[in-house]
Amino acid sequence: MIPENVPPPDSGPGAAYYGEQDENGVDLSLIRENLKLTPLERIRRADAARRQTLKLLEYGRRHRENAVRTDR
Amino acid sequence: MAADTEKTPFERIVELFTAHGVEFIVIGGQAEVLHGSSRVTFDTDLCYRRTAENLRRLAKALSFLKPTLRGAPPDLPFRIDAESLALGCNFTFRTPDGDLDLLGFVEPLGTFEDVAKRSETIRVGEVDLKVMTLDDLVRIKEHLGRPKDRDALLQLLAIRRVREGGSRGT
Repeated sequence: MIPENVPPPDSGPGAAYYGEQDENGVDLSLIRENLKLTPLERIRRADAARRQTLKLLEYGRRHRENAVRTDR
Repeated sequence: MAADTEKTPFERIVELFTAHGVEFIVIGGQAEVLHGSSRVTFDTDLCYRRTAENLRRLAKALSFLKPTLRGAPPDLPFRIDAESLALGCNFTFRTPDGDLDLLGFVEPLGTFEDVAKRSETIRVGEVDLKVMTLDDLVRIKEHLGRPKDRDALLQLLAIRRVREGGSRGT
């Protein structure tokens, strides 16, 4: 039986350093993945991330615009 | 992954420049990506050679991109020709293929000739590109030392460490 609220197994200070990070918080697993790709694949993956980020920025902009309209 | 027919803005720009015989080196965020960085980058930074012939080729290639000066009023007249390019050095353009920064001098490394000495050639799709080395990218970030450079620097140092650890990659 799972309780209604499930606390994380380890909520101590170390919980912030999840995954495979170096001491600066850089996710090494992402770098390892990229290094397995060809240069062209790296460029296209980065471009997909860029487009995704622009899309999210646009959603945020629209949300703020709607919020301003609602406030009026 | 995008199909071959869906070229990225970066691919379109470097293929256009290559088709016009422009001598340039990929630097900045796209060079970081080519070396394995997972950071998101929005623009294309290129270091170009400042010879009269290359400026003419660059102007010709730029005429197809129809760039405007970023940050300047859109109606500010800017003629793209070799003479105008010769009068400036580092340009920040807005193009239909995204922001494009063209640098004639890269602080603290120097000109195209200085950067080219140590650049490496990486094949991207149809073209062989001169790309700034990981070590030179690190050198620039260490020199500039702004908060945004520190973020990039930590990523580059991690790439170097992963590579030295024997990870697969170019």
